[in-house]
Amino acid sequence: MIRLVLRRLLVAIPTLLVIITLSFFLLRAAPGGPFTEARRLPPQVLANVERMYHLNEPVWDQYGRYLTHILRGDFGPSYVYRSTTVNALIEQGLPVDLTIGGFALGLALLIGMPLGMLAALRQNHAWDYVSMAGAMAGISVPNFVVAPLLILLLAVKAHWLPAGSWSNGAPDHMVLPVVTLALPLIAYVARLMRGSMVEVLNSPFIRTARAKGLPERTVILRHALRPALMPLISFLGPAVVNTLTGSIVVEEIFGLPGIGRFFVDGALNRDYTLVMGVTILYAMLIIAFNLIADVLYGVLDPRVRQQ
Amino acid sequence: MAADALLEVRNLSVRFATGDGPVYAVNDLDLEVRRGEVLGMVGESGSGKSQTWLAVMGLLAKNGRAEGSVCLGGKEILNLPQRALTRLRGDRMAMIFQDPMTAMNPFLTVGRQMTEVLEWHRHLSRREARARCVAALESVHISDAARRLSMYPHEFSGGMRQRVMIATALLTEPELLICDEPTTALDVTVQAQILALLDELRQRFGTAIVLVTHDLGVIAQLADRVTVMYAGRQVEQAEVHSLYGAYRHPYTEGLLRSVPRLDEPRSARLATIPGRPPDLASRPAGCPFEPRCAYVTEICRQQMPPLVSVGDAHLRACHYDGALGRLEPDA
Repeated sequence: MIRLVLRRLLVAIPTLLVIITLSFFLLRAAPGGPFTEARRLPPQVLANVERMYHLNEPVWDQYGRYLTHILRGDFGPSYVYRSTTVNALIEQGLPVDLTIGGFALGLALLIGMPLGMLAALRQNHAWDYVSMAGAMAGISVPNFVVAPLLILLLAVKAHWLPAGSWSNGAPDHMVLPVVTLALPLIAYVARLMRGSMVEVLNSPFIRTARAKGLPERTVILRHALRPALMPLISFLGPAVVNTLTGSIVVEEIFGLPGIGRFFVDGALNRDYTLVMGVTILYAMLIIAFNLIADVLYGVLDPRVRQQ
Repeated sequence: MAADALLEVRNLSVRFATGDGPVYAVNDLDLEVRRGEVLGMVGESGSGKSQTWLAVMGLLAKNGRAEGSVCLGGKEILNLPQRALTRLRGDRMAMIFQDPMTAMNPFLTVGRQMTEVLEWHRHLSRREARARCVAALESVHISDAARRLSMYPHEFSGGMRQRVMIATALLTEPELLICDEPTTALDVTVQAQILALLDELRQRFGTAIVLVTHDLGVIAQLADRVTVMYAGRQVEQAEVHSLYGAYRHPYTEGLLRSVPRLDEPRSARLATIPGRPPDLASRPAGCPFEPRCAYVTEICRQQMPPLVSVGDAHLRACHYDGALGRLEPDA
């Protein structure tokens, strides 16, 4: 198990290097630069600014310089959000994403898992059809529809909750964004849980457990639950990252100071360092959560653990 | 009806609801299992042999329905409510399955999968149960039993797993052990060991064993009586020696003639039964074997032959009265 983790961490280094290299050169290959904005800078000023950020050097030198900075954990200055660093922007935005995403994920598991299990146990009964139809809707309706609807109903009409803003993480401000993020996740989790539970319940070892006379409760909780969780775990690895990072729309609608905004603005403004910083952060998150998923696999499944 | 009948199956029918209409897997089955005997049930895939015993155990798939009567020790057990079934299954009757690779939960230790039986049926503590499980593993000739209890199924070989399944089934000393193709997934030497083990345990505990298989050789080794299934019906039932020596049904003849024999020249061709088993969704008026039978007469197409006695505990369902033996190897 420890060897698995170490091996995966070692493999992560070249993976990250490839991602850094690719995005570094792709960004520079894109037309324009951070300072070729609508309002042209006088040539002399532009030259000065580019010299300050070493943008006048050959691209290979820039690449080498960037790599050495990253090794020190320094993502460099932002070119667009002047007078602040990429590190500072990430430090400021990441906690917002982590909080919202974490709550959404927790909510999704808390509701989606039992929902899917019940649907599996009442397979092809009314409850199954109702909850799976609901789940389908949850997956299909995009969050830029759900969010304004929630705002309209619960904030504008009913005045129960604030319509947006972060407010230093006040709980009532978090409810709507968390719910918006959680809805499709609940749906995914419920559908996955139902599917894997149905499959596990049809497996020979469940028949054995029943043949042993075990009550249905024990058959489900002791024999079926753990195998049924496995597909969920492989889904959750990438899904956690998607939730933490893919909340750009939700951030925008609710006016939350998360990282997603920087990612989009950075790309539009050719803010090289900012885009690079966020990309590297996302890549590390993806690697980390996939590793966590693998470790969980091992914790749950003795066959994986002993490999 | 024998006085020492442990399990009496009367008029058992199993049918499955499918998208294309009902499938009749078992039809009007009558049989009994006597205390301490080994009853073999033989038939090809889809003959209803497994579904018969799944119905007895109350383990039919959700779309399956069983009708008729099954009495264990004189008490009706067919279609009991779940709660009552959980008390019966794994206690007074147990069942083991074909593929020991998939029949055990890969996520739980072997010990956990054994102790839970005693914890549930006998209300033993985990520790007491563990001691009993060690003894049970030893009785199926698994050495180093205490250590193996904390191992997982994937660390066992196929034969060992089947031994564990047998040991688990016998923890409560059931009156009836149903073995559904217990050796089919195992290689031949292991198969022989498992059969020898079943025989040994039957003698030690007096457990009645039902042996479901498509392998006539397995039946010959272990069974006292045999019943032959075809298309969800019993076609012949007899003591094992009289079935092999003096079978009375054309289908049994076909089965026996299709077994390779060591005392025939290697150039001899095996006999096969022409045609295919009938579609279980349709229910013909006549004998289900009629389209494939070498002895078919007019009445076979019109009337279902009943299962009747043809002497000395020998039953068969066939209209044909003449001598068998017409079945020749394929040219």
